[in-house]
Amino acid sequence: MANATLKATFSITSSDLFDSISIAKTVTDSLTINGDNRQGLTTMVTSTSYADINVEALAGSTDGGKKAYVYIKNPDTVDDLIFADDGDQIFCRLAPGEFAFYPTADNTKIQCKSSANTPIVEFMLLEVA
Amino acid sequence: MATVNVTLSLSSTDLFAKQNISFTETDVLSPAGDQMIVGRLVTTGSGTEDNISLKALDGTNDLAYVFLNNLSSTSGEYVKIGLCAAHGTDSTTGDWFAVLGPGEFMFMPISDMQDLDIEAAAGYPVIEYILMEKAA
Repeated sequence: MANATLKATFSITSSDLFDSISIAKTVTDSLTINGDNRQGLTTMVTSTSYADINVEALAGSTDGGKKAYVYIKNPDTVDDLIFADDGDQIFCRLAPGEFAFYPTADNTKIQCKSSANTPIVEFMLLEVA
Repeated sequence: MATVNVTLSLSSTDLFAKQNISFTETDVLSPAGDQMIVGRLVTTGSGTEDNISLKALDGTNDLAYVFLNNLSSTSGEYVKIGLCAAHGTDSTTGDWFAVLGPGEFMFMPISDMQDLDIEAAAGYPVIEYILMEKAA
């Protein structure tokens, strides 16, 4: 598969997080996608049991190995989504409407479950070689 | 309670032959914990894990919003992001869940950890970060 480029931009602003400091910052990056597991925008119904969001085990050797860029969002309005690594260790919890974007590493899989019921998880996963 | 606006935009024209990616997500956060940090850290170097919180993250599920940015532009100067079960302790081998290459950033509502630590693979990359505890 030919290399691809993902452009990522993140902005954060707040005028009242601190009394004496305002935050207004935008960062951009141009990311090279060259792994063999590209999963575009996907939705999946979750349950209170873990399910993998990656189709195949994450591999590769860049930056310590098993790296992939991951976007996850909880489009639900009621229930949380909980994410754990390949050792069932929880590292992220998305309340309704929340999202995350990060480069996962050192794990062969990313697991997702709901706090209750069967909310949908929206995600994208792009592996690095 | 403070208001923090976050926006993420992702786009690509060559990931897939038949589909372009282009979308923007926004959210309005209301962090209300007792620990809010804007930080800049010169990492200590390979073999040493640097913690970023001032005290243990707490509240239900130890929730916090974290933004991290690796300012290095030197190849090989990636940083490992590990979760710490207890504040003031190092993460262990299996606790490493994210990596930031030179110039890369991440944003995540973290959970079930009292602290994050950062270890450089090489050199002494500078990390800028914002840590906002969600609830006290």
